[in-house]
Amino acid sequence: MSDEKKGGLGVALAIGAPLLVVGILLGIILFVISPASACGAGTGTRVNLEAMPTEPVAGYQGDQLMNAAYIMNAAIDLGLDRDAQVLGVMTAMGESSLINIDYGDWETNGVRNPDGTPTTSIGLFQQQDSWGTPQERMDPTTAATLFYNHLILVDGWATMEPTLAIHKVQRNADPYHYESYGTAAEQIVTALSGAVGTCATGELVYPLADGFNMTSDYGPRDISVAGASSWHAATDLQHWPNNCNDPVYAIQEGRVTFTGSFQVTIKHPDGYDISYLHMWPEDVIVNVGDEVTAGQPIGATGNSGPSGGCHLDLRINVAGNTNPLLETLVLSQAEGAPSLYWNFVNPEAFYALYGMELCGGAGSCSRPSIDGTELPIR
Amino acid sequence: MTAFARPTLPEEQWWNELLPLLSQKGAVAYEGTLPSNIPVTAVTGAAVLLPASTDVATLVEVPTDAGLYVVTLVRGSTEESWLAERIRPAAQ
Repeated sequence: MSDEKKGGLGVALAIGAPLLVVGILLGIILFVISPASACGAGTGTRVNLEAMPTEPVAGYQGDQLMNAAYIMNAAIDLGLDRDAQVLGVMTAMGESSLINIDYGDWETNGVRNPDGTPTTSIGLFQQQDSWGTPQERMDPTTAATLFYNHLILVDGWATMEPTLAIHKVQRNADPYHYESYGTAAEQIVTALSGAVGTCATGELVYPLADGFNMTSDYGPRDISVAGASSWHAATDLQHWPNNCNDPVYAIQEGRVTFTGSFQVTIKHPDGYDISYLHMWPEDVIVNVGDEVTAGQPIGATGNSGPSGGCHLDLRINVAGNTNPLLETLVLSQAEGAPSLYWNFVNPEAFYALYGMELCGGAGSCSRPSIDGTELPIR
Repeated sequence: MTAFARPTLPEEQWWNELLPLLSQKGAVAYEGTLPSNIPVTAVTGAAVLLPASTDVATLVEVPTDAGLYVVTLVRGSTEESWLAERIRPAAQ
């Protein structure tokens, strides 16, 4: 047995170098094509107003979803893409909860303009009278068009953090106000876009509440924490700097197959395993054999095991997978992972299969840095 | 926080006096803010340093006349002075 293991490692080491080169090449190709190939991403879809969902989406329903549809279609009419649709929906969530209200900050909070006059903001985007007539600002399509016409004048709006791009148009006190609406906006845009051909089905949610950060990417990395892996088969997530004792949610349904040490593993009905690392054992609230649903709390972020601070290490192993769609994902061994970390896939690519962005898109996760230096906790 | 909480200042003066106190990311984020939209006009008590700080990033809780605010401070190294990255109402 031990000889076999040694042999396996030897082979892995011998072929490791060429694999690494191929892996880097594949990685580059994957990186370049992934935004376009991500399910649901890229070009936007016009919403069919006759086929609106009757069930709530992300807690929004009825007229709220219809207003989201008007916004999404206004983006399409201007030749804008799906990211712009998400931006518009995020903005209206943050301004009016997607309700076309005929009152604003003056009526609710007594907010005045610098010259002392009451503010006049109304509608889905809470636009003041300098934006247009009351009729224009209260017409969802026109209000959205006014918003987008300003947005596209913002330098680099498409590559900025979504909340900051929105802030350049809306000019509120808090540039980060819209951040927490990213996930819900993504879900609504996905739902209203209808079924997309190559999208995975089944529910997938984020493992932490909105507004989390990614502090270590999937793949090779330099690491100073003793015992932490130099090839990282996972994505590290946290709410910096309130990174401890933060609820962790199952990202998909499945059966708990392992809890112990610093790891919880949940096997999806399709046979692949999703693991959540570094929770303190006493914080884990599921047991082996439990059937969990997507979004069910399973514990809280901790610093258990090889870890340099509280965070969630999310990793997906597809060794037992029976879902053909997941077979399109690049395996860790093809990217140069040592044999200990074979059969893992990049969680970001996994989310992309569902038309969701784990990090760096219009979703809720950002990669923080201080003057270009990644935050220290891994 | 005091430099931020001045909604009645002309836009240009507000920005010129706040800018030196912001980190690079903070400057990108807060550029274009309309000071008249800021609900805070005064700091009403002593600031409190929150736990979970490091040498280069920390959170400070500041009581204001518009409720509790949290300021995220960062610096490139221990030699440099702290700069504000986020100035936000505390989570409810």
